[in-house]
Amino acid sequence: MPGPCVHHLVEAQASLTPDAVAVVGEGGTLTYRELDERANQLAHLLAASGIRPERLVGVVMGPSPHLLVTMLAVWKAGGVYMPVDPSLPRGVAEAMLTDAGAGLLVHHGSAAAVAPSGVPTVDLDHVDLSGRPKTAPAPAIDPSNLAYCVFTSGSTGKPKPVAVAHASLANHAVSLRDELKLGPSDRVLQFTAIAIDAALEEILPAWVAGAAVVMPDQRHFTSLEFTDLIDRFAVTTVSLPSAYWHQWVDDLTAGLVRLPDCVRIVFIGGDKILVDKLAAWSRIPGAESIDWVSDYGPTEATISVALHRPDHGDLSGRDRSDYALVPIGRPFAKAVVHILDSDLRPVPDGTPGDIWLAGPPLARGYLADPAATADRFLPDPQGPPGARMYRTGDRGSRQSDGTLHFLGRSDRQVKVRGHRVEPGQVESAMHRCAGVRDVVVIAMEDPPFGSRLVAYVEAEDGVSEAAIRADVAGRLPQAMVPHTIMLLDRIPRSPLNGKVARSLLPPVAPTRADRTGQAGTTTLERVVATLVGDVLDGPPSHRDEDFFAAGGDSLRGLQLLSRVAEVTGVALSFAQLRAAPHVAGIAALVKQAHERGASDGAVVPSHEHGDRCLASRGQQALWFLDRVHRGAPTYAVPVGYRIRGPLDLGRLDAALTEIVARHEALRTVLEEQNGKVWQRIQPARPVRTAVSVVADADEAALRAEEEAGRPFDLTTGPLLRSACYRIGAEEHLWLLNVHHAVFDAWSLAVFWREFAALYTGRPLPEPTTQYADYSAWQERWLRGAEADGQRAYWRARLAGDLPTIELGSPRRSGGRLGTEGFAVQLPPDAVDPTAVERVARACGTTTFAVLLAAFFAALRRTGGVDEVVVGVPVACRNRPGTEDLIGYLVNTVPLRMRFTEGMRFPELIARTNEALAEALTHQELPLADVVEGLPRRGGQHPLFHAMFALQSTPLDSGGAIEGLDITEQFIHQRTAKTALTWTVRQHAAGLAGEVEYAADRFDRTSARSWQHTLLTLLTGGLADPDALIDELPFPTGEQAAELAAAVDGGSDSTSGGS
Amino acid sequence: MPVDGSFGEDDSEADVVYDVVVNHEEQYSIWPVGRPVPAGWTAVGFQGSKSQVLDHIETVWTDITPLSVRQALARTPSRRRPSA
Repeated sequence: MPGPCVHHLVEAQASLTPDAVAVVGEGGTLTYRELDERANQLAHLLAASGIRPERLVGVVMGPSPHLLVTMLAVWKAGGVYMPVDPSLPRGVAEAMLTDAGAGLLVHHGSAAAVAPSGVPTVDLDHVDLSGRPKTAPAPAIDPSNLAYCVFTSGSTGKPKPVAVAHASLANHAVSLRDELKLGPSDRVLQFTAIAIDAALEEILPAWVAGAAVVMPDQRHFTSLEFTDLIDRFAVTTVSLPSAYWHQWVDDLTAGLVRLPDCVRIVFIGGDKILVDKLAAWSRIPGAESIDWVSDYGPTEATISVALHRPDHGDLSGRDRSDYALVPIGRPFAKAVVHILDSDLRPVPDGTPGDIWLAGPPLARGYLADPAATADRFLPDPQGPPGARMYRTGDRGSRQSDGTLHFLGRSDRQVKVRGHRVEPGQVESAMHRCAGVRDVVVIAMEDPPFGSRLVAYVEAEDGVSEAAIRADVAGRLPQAMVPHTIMLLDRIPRSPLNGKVARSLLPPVAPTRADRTGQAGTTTLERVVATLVGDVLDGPPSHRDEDFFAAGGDSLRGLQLLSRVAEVTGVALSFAQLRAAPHVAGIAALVKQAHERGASDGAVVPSHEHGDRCLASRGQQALWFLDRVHRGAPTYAVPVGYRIRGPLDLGRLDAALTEIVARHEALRTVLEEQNGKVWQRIQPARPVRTAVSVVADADEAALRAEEEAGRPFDLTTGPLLRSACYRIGAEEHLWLLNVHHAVFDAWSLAVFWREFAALYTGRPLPEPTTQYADYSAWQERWLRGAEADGQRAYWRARLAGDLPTIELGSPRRSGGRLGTEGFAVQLPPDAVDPTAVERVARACGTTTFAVLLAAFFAALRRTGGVDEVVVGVPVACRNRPGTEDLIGYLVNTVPLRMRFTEGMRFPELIARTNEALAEALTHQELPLADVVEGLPRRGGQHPLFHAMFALQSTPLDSGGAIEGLDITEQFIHQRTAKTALTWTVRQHAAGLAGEVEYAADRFDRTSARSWQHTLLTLLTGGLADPDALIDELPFPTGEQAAELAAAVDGGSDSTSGGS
Repeated sequence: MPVDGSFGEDDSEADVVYDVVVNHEEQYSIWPVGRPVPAGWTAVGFQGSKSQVLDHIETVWTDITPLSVRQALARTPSRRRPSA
C-alpha cells in the first residue's frame, strides 16, 4: 500500500517545527524535538526487547505525556500499539492482553499490578533511557503493517481486538486535519478515555498539523473543571462524547459556566446527538463562531468515516420525535458508504437500508478471530476486485444531497454507558434464571444519558424482581444487567407468529419515584438529596446511600456536580464524589468549602452588630409595602397544623421560646429613622401560645383564619405569634403566624427541624450566624462586582416594552390592586404527579419547570398575550452561612417568557427551564434593585401580574415528632400579593396547592373558572406533550365555570373574598 | 424506541446457504450461494449454513494477516538488535 506510516508523518513535522509545542501537560510541555527524541530512545529499548512489525505492545498506562511518548515509540520500533484501560480489573486486563497475543507490556506506576504470565514487561519507572540513541531506529515497516489494536465490546460481553493498519490511520489523521483545518496555532484537548480509538483522533490529526495536544492527567471533569481546563491551556479544539457535551450545553445555558473565547472547534463523537441540545447550543452567545462538527464511525473502520456540520434544517424539524437525532453526515477520509438491502444490493436514495463501509478506513479484522472477521467483513461487489466491506449493523438512509441519516440498529444492539449490548444476549441469560418463564428485553432511550435496558419477565408464582435481579447479576457483566425488571402476568405476543407485541408492553414507571425516604438530617443534606433525586429517578433512600450503587454512572455524577454547584455555589470534583458518593458526604464537602471560602462570598458572624442595624433590602421593601397596605396582613406567613395525640402545650411554648431566643430575626422589629429603615433586635422574651377551646374542627379553622387575618405591627412586634385551638383532649389546630419580614419558606424548614428537636428535648448547637450578619453581607455584596453583573443581566433580560396582561376583570375602580384576596385549593388529585414527572424526565427537566410552563401557557391563553412575566420566589440560600438562618432571604425573580407561533409544550418547557436556570444564577440581586435598574414605565403596572411557587413540606423531612400525628392544614389570611399566585405544595403523597386571587380582579366564579382552565391546559399538555400550546384544549369561560362547579363545587376549604 | 431486527437477526437468514470465498490476500469471507461471487473472490467449494461456513473458516484461516504482509515479514530477517 502506498503512503507513509503515521509516525513518519509525525517525524516529518518534528523536523519541520522542532521547537513548536507538541504536548501540553499539567507538569509542563514537550516540544516536537523533545517528543521525537524521547520516543526514539524508548523505541530503541522496545526494539531491543524484540518489538518489530506486527508485534503487539500492550500499553497499560493512565493518560499522561509519558503515554504519548510511549505510543510514538511503539510505532518507531515497528510495533503495534495496543492500549488497555488501566482501571480494568487485573484479571480482565491480563486476559485481554494474553488473548490478543501481546508480545510485550509497557506500564508505569500504579498500573504495574497487571502482569500476564509469559509476557515480558517494561516498567517505565525503572528504565534508564539516557544512553539510548536520540535518532530513530529503522525497522522494515510498511504502511500495510498494523499500527494499533483496540478492544471493542463484543456482543457476548467479551472484548474483541480490532486491528488497524498504518495506512488507514495515516489516511484518517491527514483527512481529519484537513477537514477541521487544524494548524500550528491549534491546541487540541485529549479528552476521550485512552483505550478507546477516538483518543487517537484527538492526537494524530493535531500532530500532523504541527498543533499541540493538551494532555490532562485525569478524565472525569465536571463542567466547571472542564471549562477551566480549556481556559488555562487556551484549548482551541475540544472533542467530546455526545452525552458529556449535552451536559456542557445544559451548564452553559444555565450560566454555570461560560463558553471560553479560545475555542474554535467543537467536535462531537461517540453516540447519538440530540437536536434539542444542538438548538440550545446555537443560542449560546459565542457558539455561532465555533465550528461544530460531529463524527460517525465504528472502530472497525478506523475511528470515523463521516462528518456532519449542522444547518438550519437540523434545528427546525420539530415534526420528528423529541429524541430527534443529528444526521450522520457525509463520508470523508476516502470512506465509501453503501446503503444495501438484505440481498446486499444498493437501495435508492431516501430508502432505509443497512450501512456497510468500504475503502481505506477498513480495519484488517478481529485479531485471533477469523470467523468473526469473515462474518462482518464481506466481499464488496461495488469495490475493486478482492475488496471487502464491513457490516456496521446500523440502519440508515442517504438523502439525495448525499447526507446520511442514522435509523437505529439492525440487530437490536444498543449502547449502555458506552458498552455495546445485545438485548438478545441478556434475554438468553435471563431465561436461565430460576423461575423465569418468559422474558423480553428492550432498550429504552433515556436522554440525555443514552440507553438503558428494561426486562419484562413472566415469572413463576412467588419469584420476586429482587431474586431475578440477584440471579442475573451473577450471569452478566454490569452494563448488561437490566436497569429495570418488570414482572408481568403474561408477555403480550402476536397470535400470528408468536413475536412479542412491543407496542402492548406497559410503559416503565420511574423505579425510584415512589420513594419518600428521609435522606437528610440537615437542611443542606435535604437539598442535596433533592438534587440526587433529580439526577437519579427518585430520591435516595437514606443519607449514606451510594450514588453509584443506586444507578448513578459517571455522567449522572457529573450532572449532579453541576447541580450542586448551581445551588450551593460549591464546585466539587469528580474524585471528591467518588470518595464520598452519598448525600451525607456531598453535604459535608459543601459545608467544608463554605467554611473555607467564608471570607468572600460568605455570610460571616459578627458579634458587633449590637441591637440595631440597617434593614435588608427585602425588609425595606416590606416596610414600605406595609405602609401602603396600611397594616393588611398581606405579608404574613400563617401555617396551620392539625395535631392529633397528647400535645404538651408547656413544651410547645418552651420550644418556641428557645427558638425565638436562638434566632434574632424572630425578635426583631423595624423602624424608620433619618430616611432609612432599621432592624431593632429586642431581648428574648417567653412566647405564650394563645389557647382557645372550640366546639369542632370547623370552628377551629374559622377562628384560625380570623387570627391569620389579624395585622402585625412591624414597629412594636412581636412578629411571631402562636395560637392553638383545642378541639379535644388529643386534637388541636395549631396556628403559627410569622411576618415575612423575618421569615420565609426555608426558615420554616429550619424552624421545624429545631422545633422537633427542642420539643422532644434534644439539644441543638448554638447558631453561628444571625440575620443581621446576612443584612451586613448584603450591603457589602450590593457594592461589589457580582451585583453589578447581576444588574446588567436583569437590565438586558427585562429590556424593551414589558407586557401588560389583564387577568380577571376589574371589579372596582382604580388601577392599583387592593390587598384583599382569597385562595381556592386545588382538588387533591388535580395534578397527576407521575404524569408531570414523566414529561419532566422526557424533557430532561424538573417538575418545577413543567408546572411553571403550564402556568405560563394558562396566562397566555387567558390573557391573550404573546409575552408573560411571572414572579418566582427563589430561596437565595446558596451563600455559605445562610443554610441554618431563620429570616427573610427569599427573593422573587421575574421570569419573562415570549411565545412564538406554533410553539409546542416541550419547547415551552425547555425555554422555561432555561429561563429558570439563568435566573437562579442571578438570584441574589433583590427585586427592588432589579426594578430600580429598569427605565421608568408609565402607569402603575407592576413588573409581573402573577406568581408561581413550588414548596415542599418540612414535615416530610425531619419535622416529625414521635407520638404526635401532625398534618398541614391550609390557612389563608384573605389577602393577595398579586392578581394571582399559584402555589404548588409537594408532599410525600403527591402535589397539592392553591391559587390565591386578588379580590378586585376575581370573584369565586371567575376564580374557579380560571383554575379549571389552568388544570385543563396542564392535563392536555401532559397527555399530549407534542401539542401546540395554542391548540391545547381550552374551555370557554362558561364551560369552565360549569365544569368547575360540577367537579369541585363547594369542596374547598377556603373562605373570605368577595 | 426499540428497534426491531431486519438483516442480521432476521428469521429468514437461518435458511440462507453461504459459500466460503477467498481473495488474493488469502482473506476469507462468506457469500450467499446463488448470487454472483464478486470480482477478485473465489469460492473454495465449501457451502453450508452461516455457522457451518464460519466454523470452516475458523479451521482454514488461522492468521488474518494478509498474504502480502506475511510474505514481506518472511523476507525480513528478525532483528533482535537495533541497527543504530
